[in-house]
Amino acid sequence: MNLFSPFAMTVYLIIALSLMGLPIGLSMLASSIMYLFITGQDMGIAAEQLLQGLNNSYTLLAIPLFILAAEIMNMGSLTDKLLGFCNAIVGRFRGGLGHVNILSSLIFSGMSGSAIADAAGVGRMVISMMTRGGRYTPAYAAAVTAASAVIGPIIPPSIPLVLYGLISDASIGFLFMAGIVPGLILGVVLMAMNAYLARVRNFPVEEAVPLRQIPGITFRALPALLMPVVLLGGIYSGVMTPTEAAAVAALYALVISTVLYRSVTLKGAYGALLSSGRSMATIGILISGALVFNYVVTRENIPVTVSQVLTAMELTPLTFLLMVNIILLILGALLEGGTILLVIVPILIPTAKLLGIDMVHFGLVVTVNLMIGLITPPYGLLLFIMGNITGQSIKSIVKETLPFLAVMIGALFFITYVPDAVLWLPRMFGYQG
Amino acid sequence: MTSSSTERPGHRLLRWLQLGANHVLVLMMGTMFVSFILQIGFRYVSNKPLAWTDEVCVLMWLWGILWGASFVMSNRDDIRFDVLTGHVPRPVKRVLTVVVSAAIVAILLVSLPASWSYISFMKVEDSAALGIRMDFFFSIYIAFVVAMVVRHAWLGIEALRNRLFDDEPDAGPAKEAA
Repeated sequence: MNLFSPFAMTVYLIIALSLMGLPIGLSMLASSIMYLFITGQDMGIAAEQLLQGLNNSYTLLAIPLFILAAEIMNMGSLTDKLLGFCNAIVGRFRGGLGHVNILSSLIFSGMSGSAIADAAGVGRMVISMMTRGGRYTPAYAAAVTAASAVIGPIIPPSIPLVLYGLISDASIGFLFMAGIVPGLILGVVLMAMNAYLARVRNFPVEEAVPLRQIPGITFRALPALLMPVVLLGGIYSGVMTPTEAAAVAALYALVISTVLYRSVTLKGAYGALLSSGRSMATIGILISGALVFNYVVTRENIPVTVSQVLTAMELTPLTFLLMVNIILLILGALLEGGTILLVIVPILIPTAKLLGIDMVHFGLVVTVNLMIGLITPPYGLLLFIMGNITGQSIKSIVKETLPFLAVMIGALFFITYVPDAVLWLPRMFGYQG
Repeated sequence: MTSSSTERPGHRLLRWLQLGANHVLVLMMGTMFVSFILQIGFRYVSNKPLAWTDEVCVLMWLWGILWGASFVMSNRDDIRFDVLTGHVPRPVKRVLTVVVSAAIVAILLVSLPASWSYISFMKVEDSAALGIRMDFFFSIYIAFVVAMVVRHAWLGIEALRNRLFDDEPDAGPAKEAA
């Protein structure tokens, strides 16, 4: 490959501009405009790609709606009810609040599509429960929260899986279905690690919630617990598209928060809309930059070139996946997940297809990989958010996160090399792959 | 924010504009949400799918992103790569900000005529359901480019005057990217 070709220049410029502090979306947009300029093409192509791309990406509308649903739930006392339920179920064991943290993330992830929303919403509340009275160190509470928030976008609904559906043409419904088992696997390994650490470090046992109270607590949490059922039921029965399901999820959250839990104010609703609008703009600009840059990538035939190079190396599917795992773990520690998904992953997809790797399986491998990047030092976004919430140093949080990171990487390799674990559930629902 | 009694009229105007921009974004999000619900409702209740709701949703998505990025998002909301800029001495950071701002302003300005001509060319097309002229549909891109030019020119000038956008304390960012 020519190191001074217009394409290479474009890549250098993106790297230089983003390293110098320009937002990544704008860096991609500006560099792609430069590419059009250097190659003597019409610079209006940038506007065309951006506008037509956004205009034709109907499925992406699920993103703001999933964010809105999560905002509404974080606003209401829905999360209280859920935490009460989780505490009644797993709080009685040693290290109980750690388990509560993980279980609540698992359930909450069935309603929100974003790890950040999970960590900032339900995570923030569990942290204050865990650190009250000095029972757990803030760093440990932060570590468990960060690690379990990773599950959020793996269990449907999921914003990264919607993005992946867009770039790979895989069915979002089947991708969502395929996320359930890997999400549960991650939940189980995290709970196992928490149980182990609880014994080694002698974490406190909470007073067990009497068994006869459990039905009442479950009943009060039931509307919240039913959310994933409504959502997934709607998608798989063919009643709704995933995008519409996102709108219904937001409506459902709004209705139960207002009618049942009476926790919605006009001011709160305004805040939820504004905050989800800002998040939509944040991720939308990233998508816009990627749309324009992907024009450059396609025009330069990069995916084909990469796939030729990789094919010449005679990779087996397994070595290719291992390579993808390692590249994405490294990139995931340095870059924001959405950027990698929109820019790097499209380059890998043709090779994956050529090697006969199932696109739904590949999507889950990529997503789990990228989400683990959120807690990988030095630049995992969740670590910083946890530092922000708990006021702990990143270093102390990283130290507590490492055991969880280790078991999650173990789970990642399992998910990568045992495709059937991911695919059996979608296959039961008619996925041909 | 400073208290309102002591602020200069210019600042008050800016604050009002900011508030107005926020209202518009909230309205867009609300419209998108309600249109979706209407769309699903109508398909199941009356078995007659509405044609316009799809288009309204897409319009709100497109406008919401570019409007939000132009007038609502703060510089902190952006997804950036602060590995380098977070650790360099302040003078270096100022120089980097000036260079980057100059680059983005120049590139966007150079591309502006071509973008304008693409968008005004789109007047030949109307949207399928609502019959909105596509040059209007897409005109928000021009606003976005102009807003980015102004914002980054301002950031560059501020950096020259030794003020950087992350000097102010964090006002609670809303990053929900992943």
